[in-house]
Amino acid sequence: MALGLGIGVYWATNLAGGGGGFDADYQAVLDQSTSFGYTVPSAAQQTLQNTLVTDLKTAGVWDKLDVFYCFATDGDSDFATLNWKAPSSHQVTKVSSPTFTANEGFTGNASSAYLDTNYNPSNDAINYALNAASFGFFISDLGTFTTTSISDFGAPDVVNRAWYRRSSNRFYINSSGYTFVTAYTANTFVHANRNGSNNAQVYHNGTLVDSPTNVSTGIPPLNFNAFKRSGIFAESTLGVAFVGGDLSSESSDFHDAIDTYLTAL
Amino acid sequence: MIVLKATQTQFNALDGYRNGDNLLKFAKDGNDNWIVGTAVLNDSAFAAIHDQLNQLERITYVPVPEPEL
Repeated sequence: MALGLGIGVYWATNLAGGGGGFDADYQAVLDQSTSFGYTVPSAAQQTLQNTLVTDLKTAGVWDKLDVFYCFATDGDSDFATLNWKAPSSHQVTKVSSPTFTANEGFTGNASSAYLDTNYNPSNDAINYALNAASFGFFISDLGTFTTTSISDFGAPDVVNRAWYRRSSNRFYINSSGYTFVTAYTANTFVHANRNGSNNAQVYHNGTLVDSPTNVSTGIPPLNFNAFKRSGIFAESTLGVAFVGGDLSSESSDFHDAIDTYLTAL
Repeated sequence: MIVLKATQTQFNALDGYRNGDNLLKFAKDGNDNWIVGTAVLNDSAFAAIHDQLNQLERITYVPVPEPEL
């Protein structure tokens, strides 16, 4: 009896945090979804998503994120727009009907559709800073539309940019100048990072592939978005996207947490 | 690729329509037309304006020239 009570108290106060036995931060995502009338993921996927959150916390990633979006879900497309880090803020706006596919995410249409995070690092940053910054995404499909100016996820339409320019492979993070880096392919967890005024990093699937000497000049004063750069729109498919502080020490574990989740879908 | 082209009047009436976390925004094509993808016609979020969207002209998309850096 005493043992049972003790276990119950431990579970309630140390593990669960939320009403459904989930981590309190993941439960907050579910609660926000329910309050808006969105369709939450299946029970099995809720367990996977809860594990993703706890894995990110164990890896030391969670506290360094400003926004985190999990587009790959069997919840509805509205659930997929929620910012897991703070479900009541920076919800994604679906602009002109990007395609949503369950367990894959959102796909652009190469003409007009995009996702607006409503997160402007100049105004909304918590961890994102001039010389300690990261953004990234999991891209499952590059699409067929080709130009040298594609942005799959970033803040590219200003002088000081956060942009991993696809095709031409020009890399910016809080910089007006670019450095050439390695191209990414489909099924890659792309992590762009800066941890110094002249030190940036590019990770593909948790592995460091480039260390560009890219000088920081300013934080982009506009929203991060997916699929849009100026009048050019991508046709790629994104399963996850994030913006945060310096995550250079956590990149491998960050990838592993994302990979564990996506592989289980 | 077929897209929907709006006149300036249609653009003024429809651009910026919002329903929850869904927003209608036209983009410019390579001929400086206001266009939007045809997926909006099947998006239940835009059901209230489907009649107006169905009146838009169907045209072949002209890619936008590469912007200046």
